[in-house]
Amino acid sequence: MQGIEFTLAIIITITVALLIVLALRPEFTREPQGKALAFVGLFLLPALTLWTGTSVHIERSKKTEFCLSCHVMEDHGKSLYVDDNEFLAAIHYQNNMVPADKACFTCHTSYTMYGDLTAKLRGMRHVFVNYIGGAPEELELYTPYQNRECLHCHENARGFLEDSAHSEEDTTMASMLAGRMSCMELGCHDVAHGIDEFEDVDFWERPRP
Amino acid sequence: MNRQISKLENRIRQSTFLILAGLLGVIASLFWHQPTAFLVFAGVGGLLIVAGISYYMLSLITVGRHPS
Repeated sequence: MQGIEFTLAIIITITVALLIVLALRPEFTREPQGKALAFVGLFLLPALTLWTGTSVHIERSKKTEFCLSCHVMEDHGKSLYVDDNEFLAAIHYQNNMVPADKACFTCHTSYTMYGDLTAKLRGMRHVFVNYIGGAPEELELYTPYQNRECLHCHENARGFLEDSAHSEEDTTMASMLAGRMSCMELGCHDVAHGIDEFEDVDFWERPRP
Repeated sequence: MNRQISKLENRIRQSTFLILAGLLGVIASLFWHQPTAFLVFAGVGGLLIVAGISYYMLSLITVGRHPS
């Protein structure tokens, strides 16, 4: 159990205890202390429960296992194990360039709170579509993949700066940083998950300890 | 203490039941790690807790303390 989940469990326990007292003895609220206790039990603690519970669920939604729990994401999960350095998702995952337990979230959401919320709202829609309407066969991003999600880690990294392909022309680096040229431009890093190419690749098996 | 319950106290009791039901929803949503857990959290737990809080607040404003 993570720290925040433990906190939530404690808040819920205290709230339940207080609410049981209030339900059994509502006349207790005639006294000033009872009024204060009612305010804590019927407003403050439940509000705190909602706030903490939302944080717990948002944290959980960043987990790789959470994303891959939908059948429609099965192939994307499989793409993390492709045995080929050309596959971006695989090379990042297998070499710990992204945290293994947050592999999807690290590359697939913007790093602002607003972006995070938008992603969650889209996620709600995805769940709805998955259960009610049926997910489309081919999954697509809503908008072209943003360079900033790559540059968040790679910008100013030595390997990135010294790579001749990134600086072979005066304009290349500037274009990438300004978002005029995509990192996934054809001929550059153009294989992200490579699901269409699964028939021609091998898969890496993580050695068990 | 007089055990006759006033209208406000009755409303407080009803609010506690709503919030307790909501908390059950929140607790249930913590037992699995799939997207549906968030739906249960927000759609059942969150909704009932907000309803309970609102009912309590509204009762404080609208109901007097006279015994029913």
